[in-house]
Amino acid sequence: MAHSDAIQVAQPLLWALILLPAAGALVNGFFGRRLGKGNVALIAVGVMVAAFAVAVFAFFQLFHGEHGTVLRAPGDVWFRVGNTSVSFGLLFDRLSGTLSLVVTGVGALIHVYSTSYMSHEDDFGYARFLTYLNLFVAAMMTLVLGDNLALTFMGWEGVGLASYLLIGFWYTDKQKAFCGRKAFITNRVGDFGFLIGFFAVLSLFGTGDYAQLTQMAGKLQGGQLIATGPFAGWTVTAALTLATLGFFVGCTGKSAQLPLYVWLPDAMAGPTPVSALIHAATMVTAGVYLVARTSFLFALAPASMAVVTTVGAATALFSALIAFAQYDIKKVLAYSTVSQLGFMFIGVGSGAYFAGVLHLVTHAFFKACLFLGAGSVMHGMHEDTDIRNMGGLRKKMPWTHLTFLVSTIAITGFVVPLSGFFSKDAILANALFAHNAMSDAYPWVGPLAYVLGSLAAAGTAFYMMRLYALTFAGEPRTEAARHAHESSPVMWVPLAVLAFLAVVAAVLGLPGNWALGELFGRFTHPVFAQAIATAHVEEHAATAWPFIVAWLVALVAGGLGYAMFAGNLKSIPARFVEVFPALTRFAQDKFRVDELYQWLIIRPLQVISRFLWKVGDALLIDGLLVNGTARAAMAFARLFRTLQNGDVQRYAALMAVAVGVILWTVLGRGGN
Amino acid sequence: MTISANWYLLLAAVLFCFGLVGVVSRRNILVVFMCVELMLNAANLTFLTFARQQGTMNGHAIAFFVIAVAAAEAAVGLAIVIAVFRTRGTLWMDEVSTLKN
Amino acid sequence: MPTVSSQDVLALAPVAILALGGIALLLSEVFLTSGKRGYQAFLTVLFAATAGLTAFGATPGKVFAGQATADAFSAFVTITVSFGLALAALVSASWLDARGAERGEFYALSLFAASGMSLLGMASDLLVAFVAIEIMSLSTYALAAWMRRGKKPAEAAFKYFILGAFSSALLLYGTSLVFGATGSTLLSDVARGPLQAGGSALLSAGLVLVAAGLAFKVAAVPFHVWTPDVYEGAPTPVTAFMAAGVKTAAFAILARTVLAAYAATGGAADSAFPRVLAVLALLTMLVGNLFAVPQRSVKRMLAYSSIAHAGYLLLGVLAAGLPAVRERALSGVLFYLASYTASAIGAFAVVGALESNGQPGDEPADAWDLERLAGLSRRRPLLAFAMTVFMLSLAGVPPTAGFVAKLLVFQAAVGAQYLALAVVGVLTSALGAYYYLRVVVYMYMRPAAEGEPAGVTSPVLSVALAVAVAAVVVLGIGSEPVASLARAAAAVVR
Repeated sequence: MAHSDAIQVAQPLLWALILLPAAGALVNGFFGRRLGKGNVALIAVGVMVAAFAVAVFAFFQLFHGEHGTVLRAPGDVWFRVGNTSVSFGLLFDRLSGTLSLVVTGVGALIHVYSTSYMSHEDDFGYARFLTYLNLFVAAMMTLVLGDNLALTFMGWEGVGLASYLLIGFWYTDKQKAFCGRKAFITNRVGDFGFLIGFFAVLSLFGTGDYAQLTQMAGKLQGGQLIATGPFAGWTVTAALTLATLGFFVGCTGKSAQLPLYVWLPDAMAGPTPVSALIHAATMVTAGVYLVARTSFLFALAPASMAVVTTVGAATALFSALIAFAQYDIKKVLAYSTVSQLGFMFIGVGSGAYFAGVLHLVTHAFFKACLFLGAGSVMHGMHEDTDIRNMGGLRKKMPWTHLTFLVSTIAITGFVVPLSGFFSKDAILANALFAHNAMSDAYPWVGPLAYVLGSLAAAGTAFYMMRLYALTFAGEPRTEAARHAHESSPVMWVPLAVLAFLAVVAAVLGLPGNWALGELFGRFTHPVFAQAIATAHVEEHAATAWPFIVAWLVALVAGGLGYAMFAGNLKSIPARFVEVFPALTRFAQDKFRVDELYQWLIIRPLQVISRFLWKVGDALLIDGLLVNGTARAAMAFARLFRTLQNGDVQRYAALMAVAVGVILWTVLGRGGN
Repeated sequence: MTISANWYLLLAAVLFCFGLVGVVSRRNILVVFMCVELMLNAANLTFLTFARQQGTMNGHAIAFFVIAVAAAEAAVGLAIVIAVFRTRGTLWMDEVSTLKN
Repeated sequence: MPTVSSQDVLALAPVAILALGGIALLLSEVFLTSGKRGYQAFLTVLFAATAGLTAFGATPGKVFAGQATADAFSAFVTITVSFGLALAALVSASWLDARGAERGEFYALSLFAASGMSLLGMASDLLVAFVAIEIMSLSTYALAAWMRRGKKPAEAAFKYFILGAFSSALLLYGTSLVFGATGSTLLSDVARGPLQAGGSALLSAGLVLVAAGLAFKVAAVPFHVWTPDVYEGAPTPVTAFMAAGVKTAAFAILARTVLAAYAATGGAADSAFPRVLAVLALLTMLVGNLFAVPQRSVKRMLAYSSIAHAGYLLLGVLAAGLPAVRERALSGVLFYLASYTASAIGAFAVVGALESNGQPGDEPADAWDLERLAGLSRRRPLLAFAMTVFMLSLAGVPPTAGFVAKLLVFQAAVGAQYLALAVVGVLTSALGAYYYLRVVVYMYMRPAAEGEPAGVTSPVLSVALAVAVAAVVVLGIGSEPVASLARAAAAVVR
């Protein structure tokens, strides 16, 4: 193994991370109505805080020993199929430990926020909401802590379910229910890819356990030929490319990349804490986690790395462009999330694993803060999300304004000490300068990613400042905005904590070779060491100019954004819309991607299915097979019915005849 | 003259078949029951014949067991027949076919 | 001169304890002072638990000169039967009490039946098997006639008795022929084949008759015809115990006998015995499932489904014929029996709890109609939930025990090259899903009928149902401990 971490068994500790939220979900689920809102909130938040405490405790265990430790909770075998067995084990290493902290910590804050945000629901709805939230956290922890692909997939499906339940929380509204369904179905398509990858890995390695896989993969060379099994004759690289691409298809679904991102903007139909927790901080990052977790497999498949990087970069730019023209505050943030996820994939795709994960962490902080802030704004604006109706809210909602501003600056990155700058630019710099297996095979991918990523970063700065400007700057444009008020402390304190974290997390990604330099990179090195070695990712000298360029770009773009919507250049957007009306409308309609899918995929499917229904189903299957079988079965039954007529002696006669027939068969036909 | 074992076996087989046919065709419950006992005794006879043939005591011991068990079976069976009689007032086999299909 | 050692006696401890329990309960009825009989069910459970615990007492091996085998296999059977007995006793208590029919003799008969079943699990001699079958059967005939003033139970018991005695006679005659051919009734001697070359026909004929007798107990087609009538007519808790316990014990002896028969007749895959068994399994799966579909009476549907499950179990026994797959197949059969015990007793218990209290033994024609279950989820949500779990397990839906059981059996069947039968098994299971889930649909999605009585409620019944549900779920999710126990049990069967 590339890292010589000591292993410590910590069964109850790790299981508590999953079972605590699960217990909260069970209690609130069954008894919520009877407990009343206060108790339900106490239980839901209580288990989250407890889980966070456990995560912190476990995290500190990781630092024992010279090279640090890994916590394992090896489990019993769940089931065995042939030679493969799947077990219930958990793994808490630096990667899953970091994510555990993020999920439980940010999760706890969002739970606190929700207790106030959802307080106008009735008792049953309140309990239901917090139950689903706890359920989500339990599933997410299963995903993060599972030590084998099967358990990760269980968590993967679990968070998908929780997401469906939460997006469609107000299910009596048909439109909202539809958004939940859309999310679930799009995710299902992605899950199919995951399963292909999973089966490929199983048939190649015979196991889904990460530790075993790491060991086995470490002994492989890319060009080796596979001798036996369904991949016989393939090279290792080719087979693993298939497997990892399968995983990545799952990632495009779960983490909303091209082409399966379409569900995320519609997921905004759910309550805002849901958008903050699931569709910003945690669930959507599951795909990034998966790629990071299986980095040692991706490293053997440079083509997959290239695909991941390119798709990430393209998504980042594409959705940034859509965000330019959106007027719904949550939709802007949603497209921003898709875009930032693209950045994370550039990171883990191009070998800068730590950078991608670091951006995951920092993004969790500032995006959650932004979404919760948007929720606070919506509360103050009586659930209106159109930013054209806002303005001047900085005076009416000071705390929300301050935290929102800090997070916006963090994401745009033009004030240097804030975290988003470092994580994003570490990604881009690595993409440009990387020398690894992928850049050897596909030298154009890195620079392309850099260019697209930089453009996306510029776009990010632009549309975020636009959002800020239209919402908080200037003067109130409507009555509602004039009467807006700050939310309760229960809501803005979590905002403050998150904003603080968004600032402080910068310390994890400072570049350079000094004591605090590349803190996160060095911290997570043991986890990615094998992948780095396999893909021979080389260290490159940290130069300052990419960072300077990035900062300038952010400054200019952000400045433009602010100026165009709250400053002196206010006339330009209106002129733009006049000159390019079609383009504007095109962007507003999210580049018509949904319509494209409708025309390309959904309509043909409906035509085919109607044909299959009329001809295949009604005629052949119903008429011939089903009714025919039924008629045959009824004839069969009528025969037996005469036998089962209640007359004992007929029964005895039947048995005697049967014995006679069997005797004749066994003795007469030469049977022994 | 000693009768060869085969005749006993044949007798037992014939008794068995008579019993079987009786179970299937007789109309009085008690007679049906008696036919079942006939079958059991045919088996007993077979055991004894083979025991005689093999010269061990095993078969004889088995026959004792069977007699004891058959007696117990008869006790329970007759109790059930009485219960049937009490609910129907007759021992006609045709009356005992309300449960069907 | 064969001697009886302490080892031999210890091996029979579970049987003895259960029999003693029966006597104790008989006496308890004699010395009863107050009218309260509640303790009797608990006493039964106590005896059942003790018997289960002593099942592992003796050192594994043949006892009584090879006539009985006390090994992990028989221990598994004893434990399953004891568990079934305990559940059935708890279930019967409230049912009988509501009809004023609770007596110590009932529990005594159940205990005697269980002792017969336990002995049957240990039997490795055809005569011991016959005696054990008779112990088990006579007790169950009496139990079936428990509500003897009613027309239906009397008829059910009568049919059971006549056909049972008939099949026992077949069994005995077959044993006598086997005795003639091999000189002994020990299964190990049977496996060695006929004494003389000419005896093979005699041996085969004998084995066929023995198998027919066992097939009756197991409810294999075409020896299943008693099952629907008897299950329907007998008091519901008795049906529950019969369905689970008799099947378990009967399959144990059937497995041992089939293996001996294969060994005796050469066991080649194309010889007659496996083909006959395969046809039996096929017909049983088909008939059981097809006939359950049109049933409106839940009790009768469960009876036919019990035949269907016998079919799947037969498939497992069939697969055990191939030595390479034997351990997997037998462990699958054992696990299936354990899961079926929990699910079937639970399902029948729920049906029993909902019966209308007519004259004891004289329920109206629609006593068990699906309509009685309509809207149960609103009237008695916990009961509906328990029934759902049982239906799902019987249908073989994950994550219940029934799913794991079916998986094991079908895997073994495929491994033994019985691919077509496995496919039929899967297809008929799908058919089974229809009539099982129909019950669930009625419970959750039909409005409750007006003025329906809520049925029997009793804490004892609730405990029994809770235990059964827990067993089904635990076996389904954490199947590994029991499955490995089953594997260990299967491994010792030669």
